[in-house]
Amino acid sequence: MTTLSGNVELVGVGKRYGSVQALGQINLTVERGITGLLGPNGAGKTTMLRMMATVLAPDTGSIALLGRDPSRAEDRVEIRRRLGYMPQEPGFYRNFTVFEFVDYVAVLKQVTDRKQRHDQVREVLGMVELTSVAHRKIRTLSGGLRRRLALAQALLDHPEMLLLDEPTAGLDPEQRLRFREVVSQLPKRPIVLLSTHQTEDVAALCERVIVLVEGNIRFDGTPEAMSGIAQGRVWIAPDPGDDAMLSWRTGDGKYRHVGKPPPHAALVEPTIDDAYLLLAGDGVGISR
Amino acid sequence: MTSISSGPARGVAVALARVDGRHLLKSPLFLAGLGVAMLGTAVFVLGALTDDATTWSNDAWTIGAGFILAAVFAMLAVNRTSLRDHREHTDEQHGSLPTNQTQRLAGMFGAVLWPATVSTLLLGVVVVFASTQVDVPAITIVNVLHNAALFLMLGAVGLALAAWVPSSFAAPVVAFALYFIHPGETPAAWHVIWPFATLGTVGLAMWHILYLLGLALLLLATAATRWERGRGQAIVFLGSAATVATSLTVLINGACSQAGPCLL
Repeated sequence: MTTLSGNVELVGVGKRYGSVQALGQINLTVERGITGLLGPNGAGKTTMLRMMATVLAPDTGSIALLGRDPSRAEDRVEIRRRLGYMPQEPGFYRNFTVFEFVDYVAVLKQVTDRKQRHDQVREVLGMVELTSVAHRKIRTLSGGLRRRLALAQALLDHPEMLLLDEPTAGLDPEQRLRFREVVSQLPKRPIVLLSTHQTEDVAALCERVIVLVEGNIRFDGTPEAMSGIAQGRVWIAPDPGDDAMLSWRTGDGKYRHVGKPPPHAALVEPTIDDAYLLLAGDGVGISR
Repeated sequence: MTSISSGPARGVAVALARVDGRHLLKSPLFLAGLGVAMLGTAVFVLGALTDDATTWSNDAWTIGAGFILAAVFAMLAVNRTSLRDHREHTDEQHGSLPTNQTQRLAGMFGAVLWPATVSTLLLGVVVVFASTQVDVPAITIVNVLHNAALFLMLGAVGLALAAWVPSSFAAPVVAFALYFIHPGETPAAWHVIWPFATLGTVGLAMWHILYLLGLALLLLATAATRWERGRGQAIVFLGSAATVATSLTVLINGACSQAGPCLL
């Protein structure tokens, strides 16, 4: 496999669905490593990933993927050979076995040598721990196993760019930890873009995090820098407060406040969750 | 998109044909069709073994009808297989992969070769066995080949329907129409356009096979235009249209000189 140099570059990318502006003028460069994409529902995360997956064209601006232009047919095929995509709602041929389905996707990925293809199928099924159910029909699998299957097909042929749209939705805690292990140990350090609502996954996995709100980038930096946004704005107090952006009762009976402090409050170390609430506050309708 | 080199494209089509061909062979619809064909065969064989008056020309219609139904069932299986992405919502996922719809169409058509080959071999075995019991005319060998062409043509019908009318209801309606709308018993030359027509001479029967193969390619090219309209599709479309027109001209002229009122 020849290696394509190049990152992902979006310049002035916009997308509109009817009267809804899904993406504003996005300017973004994504390099190798794991980048988390956070944002409330409808923020434009899936639209952005679909564009990067070459299944949706932008209305405005230009995109370069792995140094190639997806609007050109030849480049698009070359990009797709090096792309792994797990959509938000993956579909499956339910009457296929797990092995047959991944094998079919490998054919569509143009791995035509049968032995090489089967080796790759076994490899990715092993990575997501589906080997033991390889010959079970997909219709008999649980939601969690199907999610892992969707990840397996995205991992085929060692993609240089891996797009994962809410990959841990519906997974139990053990499966989520396993997912983190798989993604963090991918060989050749591909470009991984991980769209999620799970801030813990971002904190645990990502070198960089982008927060999208209403189609625009509201934050772009490291998870640590993101947590830093909430520095000095997260408090613990014995009573609920009216002025805080958000406050809730914690397990020890005290109240955690994000935003303005109530009386007798003490500053605490913020988490990425707190920062997300501050960044996306308008978007999730909790601003005060 | 036709941009990738022909090497990978051909390799992908062959690999898809292998994978989907095996799935078609295991398809309940195809197996049901084979069951019907075997039923028609059993009726004939039982008659041949128990009744000395049994002849190929009078009694083998049950075999013909059974294998025609098998081809119709295979068309339904091809259509159902082609509608998988639509039914299982995998369009977007598979749309991000390098193999385009035209290559997948070619692969699926290649997959039709599997049931076509299996049923034609089976029909061949039936004919060989029947020839040990009754006199079988030489033209039957061409009719066996006609069975393969019929499978390919009906397979292409299934593919074209899946491309242009992506609904599970379309193919059964067309299958019903194809099988049950019969041109009637009165001989007329235009009956040769009916895909299930059997012709009286080897020459005409061979032209009918060519006609079916031309139709198959015409339908494939039509299906491909659903996704792209390039030079390749245009060439196949024009070539297959010319084949269909030529073979039809020969068939109708030949049938006119043989029997019945022409084009009535």
